[in-house]
Amino acid sequence: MIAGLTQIYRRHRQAAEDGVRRLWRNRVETALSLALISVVIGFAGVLMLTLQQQRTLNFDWRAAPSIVVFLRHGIEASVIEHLSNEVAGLREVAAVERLSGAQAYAEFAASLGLQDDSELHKELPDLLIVHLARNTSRTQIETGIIPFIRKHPAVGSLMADPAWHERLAAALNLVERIVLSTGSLLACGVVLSIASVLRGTMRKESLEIIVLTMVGATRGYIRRSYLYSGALLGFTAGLVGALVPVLIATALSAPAAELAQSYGSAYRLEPLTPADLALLIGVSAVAGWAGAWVSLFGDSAFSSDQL
Amino acid sequence: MIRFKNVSKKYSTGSDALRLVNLDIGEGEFVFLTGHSGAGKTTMLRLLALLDEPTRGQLVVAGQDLGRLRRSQIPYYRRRVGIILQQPYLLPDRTVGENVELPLKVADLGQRERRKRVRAALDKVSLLDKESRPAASLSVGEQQRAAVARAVVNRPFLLLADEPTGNLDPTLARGMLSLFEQFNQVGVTVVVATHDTGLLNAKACRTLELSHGTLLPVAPSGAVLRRP
Repeated sequence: MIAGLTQIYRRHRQAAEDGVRRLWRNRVETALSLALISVVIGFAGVLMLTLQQQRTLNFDWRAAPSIVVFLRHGIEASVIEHLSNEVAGLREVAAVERLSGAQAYAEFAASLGLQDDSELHKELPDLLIVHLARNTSRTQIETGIIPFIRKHPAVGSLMADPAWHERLAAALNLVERIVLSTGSLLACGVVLSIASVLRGTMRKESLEIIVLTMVGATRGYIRRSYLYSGALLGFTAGLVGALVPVLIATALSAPAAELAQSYGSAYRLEPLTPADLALLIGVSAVAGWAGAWVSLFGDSAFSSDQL
Repeated sequence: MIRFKNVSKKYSTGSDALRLVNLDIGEGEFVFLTGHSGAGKTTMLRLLALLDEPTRGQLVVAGQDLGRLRRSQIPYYRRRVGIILQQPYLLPDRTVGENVELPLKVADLGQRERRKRVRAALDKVSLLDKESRPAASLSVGEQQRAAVARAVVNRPFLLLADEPTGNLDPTLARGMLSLFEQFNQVGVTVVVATHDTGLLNAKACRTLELSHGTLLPVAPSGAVLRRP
């Protein structure tokens, strides 16, 4: 048992060493391929970073649906307070914010950069902003919360678009799919790039394959070192490529936060997690391994006819 | 040890490389295979090395019917057969030692054992002092000796040599023959295909002559009965 495991370990260590030596012997080609594949992996990493931001934004916006309730003029403060408490008591409501007409106008004027010297605010009703709980469904909003608020005599009108965040989610899902499709294409690109590099290497090393065949190497023996070469190339390219989203996230973090702050948002650019980076590197290594397999398909190099 | 029974080989080009060859070679025997170019010498060796398969007939080596070997078993058979070709087929960017070590790596031997056997094989062919040199830096004769070391390093029971002295001068050719004799003396069956008359005259042993894929009859004394 132990002898068998030792033999398997020795076989794989030898194949890995041969794989490394092959990459070193062809170091110019290896370096160029590494650079190309790193760029592709880096681009894939940037897509992952984009996806991460999209998920964060989606989460924020999903958590943010709200209903603006315009109250009638001249409603007593105690009635407003009662209504506010009643609405806040609903399961689907996260918070209720009360604004006077003057406050609402001041915010509106400030957002447009106007002087707040108008008498218009006196014409504006008080209002309640009802922040709904995260993931409240459109049905719950349309059939439960809106009718409940609307039937109250103090309510003049209300403004709600229960479908807005669903439309937004659909748009963001579309973005997610586009990103994933592009990522899959990039993975295919890595597989084919590595297949092409190793195919070229195999042609260069046809003498070695012939000699190995002559001295009794199995196809598995010859393949194994190529598979290690491919996986190693993919892994190294993954390591280098993973630096790209890390550097981009670091460089863009402050400007993104500044931009978000100017819109009154607490959004922060989320860098890729260590698990995401490990996934990126792992996928790259697997793509390298798969590329090596592709390069070995239907190969006549193993044929003894060349001897 | 080796039995050809009505073995024929026809290539896809339509040429008959071997025609109904019947032959027995005993264990530990030293045999020369001779004949003009295209007579079928190389084909016979290729069949013995399982680099090719007969179109018809039966080929048995060490009690094993080669035609019945599964494809996956062929590499394991080749590990027990030493093959030397006219071109040494050394990997020029590797050292002599690394070239000789290849069959042992393929056979999954441990590093210590590999090292021991490589040194022994190189010592046998007088190349121990060139172990760390790149194969490309060796002379033609040295390269051929390194190829012999590679062929015998895994202790084969059968040594096949196809025109091994084709690129060597008479002195080096005699040295090569002497090496084969040494391996033969320790029980290795040796089959050498050559049309080098100097080599054929240098050793008294069974000589088989092929002509257009047919084995010529051999007189009881071992002399080939040439066609008029």
